[in-house]
Amino acid sequence: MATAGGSPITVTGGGSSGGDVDGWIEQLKRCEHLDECEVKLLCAKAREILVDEANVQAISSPVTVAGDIHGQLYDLLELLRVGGPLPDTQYLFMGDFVDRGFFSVETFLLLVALKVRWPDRVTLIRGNHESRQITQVYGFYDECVRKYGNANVWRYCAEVFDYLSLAALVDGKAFCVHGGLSPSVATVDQIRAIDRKLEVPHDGAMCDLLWSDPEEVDGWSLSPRGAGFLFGAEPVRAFCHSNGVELIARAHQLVMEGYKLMFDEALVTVWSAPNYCYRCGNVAAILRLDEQMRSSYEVFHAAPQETRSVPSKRPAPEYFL
Amino acid sequence: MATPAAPAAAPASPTSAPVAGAPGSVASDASASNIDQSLMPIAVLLDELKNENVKLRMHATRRLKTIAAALGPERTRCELLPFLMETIDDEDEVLLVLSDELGDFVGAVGGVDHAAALLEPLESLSMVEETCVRDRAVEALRRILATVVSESVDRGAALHASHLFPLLRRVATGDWFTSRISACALFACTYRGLPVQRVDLRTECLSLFKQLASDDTPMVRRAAASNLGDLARAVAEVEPSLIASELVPIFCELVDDEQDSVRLLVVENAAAVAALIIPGTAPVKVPPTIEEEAPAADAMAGDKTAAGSDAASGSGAAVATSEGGASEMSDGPNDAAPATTPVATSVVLVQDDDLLPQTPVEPNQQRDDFVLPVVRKFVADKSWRVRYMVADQLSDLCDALGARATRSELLPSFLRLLKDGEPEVRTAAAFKVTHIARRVAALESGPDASDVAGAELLTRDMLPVVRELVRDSSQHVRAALAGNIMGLAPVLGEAATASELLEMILILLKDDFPDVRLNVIARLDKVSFVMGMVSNELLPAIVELAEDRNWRVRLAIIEHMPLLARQLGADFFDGNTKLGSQCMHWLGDCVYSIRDAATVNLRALTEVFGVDWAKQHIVPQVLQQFASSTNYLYRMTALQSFGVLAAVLPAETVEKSFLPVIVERACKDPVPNIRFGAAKTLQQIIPYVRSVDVRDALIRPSLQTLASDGEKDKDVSFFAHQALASMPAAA
Repeated sequence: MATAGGSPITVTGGGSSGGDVDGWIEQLKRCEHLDECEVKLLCAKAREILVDEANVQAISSPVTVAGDIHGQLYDLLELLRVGGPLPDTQYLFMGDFVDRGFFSVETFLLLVALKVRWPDRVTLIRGNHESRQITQVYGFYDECVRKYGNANVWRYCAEVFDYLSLAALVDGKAFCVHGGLSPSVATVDQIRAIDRKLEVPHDGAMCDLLWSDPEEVDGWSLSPRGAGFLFGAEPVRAFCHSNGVELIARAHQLVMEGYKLMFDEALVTVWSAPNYCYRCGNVAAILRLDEQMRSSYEVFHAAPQETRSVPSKRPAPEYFL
Repeated sequence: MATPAAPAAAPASPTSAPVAGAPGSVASDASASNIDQSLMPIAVLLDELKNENVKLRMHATRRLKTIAAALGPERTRCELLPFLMETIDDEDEVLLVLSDELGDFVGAVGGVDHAAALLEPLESLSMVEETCVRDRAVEALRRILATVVSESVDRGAALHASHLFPLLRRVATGDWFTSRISACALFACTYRGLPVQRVDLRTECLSLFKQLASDDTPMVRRAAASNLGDLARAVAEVEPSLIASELVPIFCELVDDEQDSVRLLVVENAAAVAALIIPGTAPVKVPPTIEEEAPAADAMAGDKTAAGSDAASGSGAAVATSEGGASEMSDGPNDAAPATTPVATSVVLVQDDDLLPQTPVEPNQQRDDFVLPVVRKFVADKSWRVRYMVADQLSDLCDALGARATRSELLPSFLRLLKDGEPEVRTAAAFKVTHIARRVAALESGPDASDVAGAELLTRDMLPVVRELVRDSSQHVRAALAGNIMGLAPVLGEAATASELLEMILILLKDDFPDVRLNVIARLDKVSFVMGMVSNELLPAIVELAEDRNWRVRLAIIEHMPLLARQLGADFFDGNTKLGSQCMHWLGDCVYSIRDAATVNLRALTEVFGVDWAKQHIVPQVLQQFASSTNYLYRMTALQSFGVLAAVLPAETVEKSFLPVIVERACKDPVPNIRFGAAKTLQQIIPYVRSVDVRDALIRPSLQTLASDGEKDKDVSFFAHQALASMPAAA
């Protein structure tokens, strides 16, 4: 990924030792969250790195692409056991790191810490849950307040959300985005022109990229989600043709089998949260794009019980045998 | 600052801080006048004790000994302890730490003479609502008493009588059930510690315990049941004769408790109590009451056995009335969710080392008369959780009750549990097959014709039942059996293993459920003669597991490869055999953890089969993997194997085979990950490269290239610099 990132990053990562960040990564992998002041520092470093990244981050193959994680830290660790550790394996995470799972704080901070430690080996792009409004409804905000007693950590993380790229392009051929296409976006250059450093708007190109879903419809259709659009085979074909794209990889929708190809394999949904919300019973997948841009999918299951701990402040009361 | 008086006083004068708000405190101006800078940290700690932040309060509480040391024993007793008493409604986290600290506080209050001062705060702590806090408080009380006793037995005994016993009485008769639960854990220690001559107090102790054993609250009865064994041991030390007259009736009452959660705790304690019942054949020591008591207990237990078996056979309306609604309720939800038992989760079931008792147990009619009906009753208990516990405890009962009971009662009970209707119970019994078999095998044939020798009993009675379990409908039962059955081979001996056991092992090796096969394979190395018998069937089983869809199963089998290699020998692992190619195949697995384990396995195989074997069967294959893999992840795995194998291969192989590939190919790979992987591998193999020339002519220049400005990837130059830094200076 020698070409990634544009200007060089001076914070940590390649070229200097890991310092604090290595310790934080180990701590977060044990599912222990960082102190508030450490989060502040980490998020500041992350913003320094992300501010230089493009709206459509250019990535070189090979890379392993992952979909929604949703705070399922132990399943993220399982993903790394299957896909390989950093920095050896190159990763692209397509958003929705937080909300719904028990460990949004640890999950997001771990991904951010990995990004800070290995900026050229990890790419994070924004999902519709990386937003102030959504996280206040779906759990991340509450989790921060519960774990820290105040909303500062949530605020630091939300500032990082605003700096995340909107999409990524692997070797110019695989377009990766959280939601999908937008009727206001015909070319990748139009995405590059967006001013992305703000809260996700309620409509427009930036909103659509994070919210849209593919569907067997003619052209474009209204989305039942209330944001973004449904798009059919034709917009996909048109977008691929005008941008020289061979594959659109996106996340955003639960797929019981972990991944789902559509439109003559021009588009794939990748879902990386196994047993979503600890009850859906689905498997998860990661997409591996090798040096020749051949794709293969690796399916994995939720981390087994003995590798995870359930959050509980107190031991079970004694009437609970 | 929680206390208004603190802000001004505390930082300036530590001496006045602890007494702020404490009743009867005297702000000592005398000491305030000679403020010592060295006391500042203490002042800070005292401040923290009152801080609003829970973390700070916990921190200060952990340093209580420091504060006490600064205050001196007298002020600790008169001011610090009363102050701490006021914090008793603090957060549970703080109280937990406080209980712990007070347990080691004897020195701080001025030694054993003043230990009594600590009992009051701990009494309050042992009555709070939170279980953890109460447990720690009770534990702290016991620690304090032990400290006193270890210093002076007499003083300890006096303290038990003067303070601990009144405390126990108060806690045991507390209004709120949590306090009575705490009391249950204090009986053994109080009973043991009371002065020998205070028979009155010991008698009251037992009657208090009896009260708690029939408490209205089931939780209290559970606490009594789980402490019964401890108390019995204490009683046996002081007045062994009272076991039969006093404790057995309590035991019998708990045996019939309507709550299955109480009954199963009784099961856990049954072996302990049984072992303590002294032989009835020692008339000198036994007071006459025992002669009356024992048959009565027997009759009582016998009656209830009859009632229990009636209930078990389900004789209409009588069941509902005799057993009562409460037990129905307690059994219902548990039976509805049998999957929650602990046995269902583990993949590899570990078999602990189980030692047979050294000394044979004397026959004891009185004990048998009392315990055996109870066992019979529990084996037929209508709650599966109770039967589960019996299955788990049965080998201990064999040890406690001896050969005769094992033959006549416990073996039949065990066989009944192996055939139980609930899979959880069969699982628990399957875990104990070897334990019981060893005790049965140790039985000697008796004068009676029906008293056949243990070995015959085993093949005649036990193995047919075990054979049924091999095809049990529950995979967990089969998995438990698979993890345990191998232990039968040494018990049976080689000939009987071949004729009786082998068939079962082979069936388990072909089980549909991977955990079952895995458990058999994991234990094979324990019995080498079995390994020889099954090697032909073993191979297909291993190969199938090696390709299992669940990667954790594959991982488990890889981890057993070195053991199998040692047992099976090199013939099974040559490159053209299935196992040999499988070991290489794992290097190309789609799951990283498998590839990683595969490299470690290659190193282990090299250690088992030697360097020459590895040069022929491993080295060419990993080189090939690097050369032919178009996906960088597999080239990365090959690099990783080079690094791992360098530690066990001769320097020459590393230099001639691995180094050229790393330097010529990996360092120039188009994928940056492979280039920094090469740098990491070079760093790993440097210690194994003997020749200084090779280091300076090959390794150093390659790393320097990777570290130079020509390299655009920052991570590559990072790892290259790191490797260079680890190199010895140039010659």
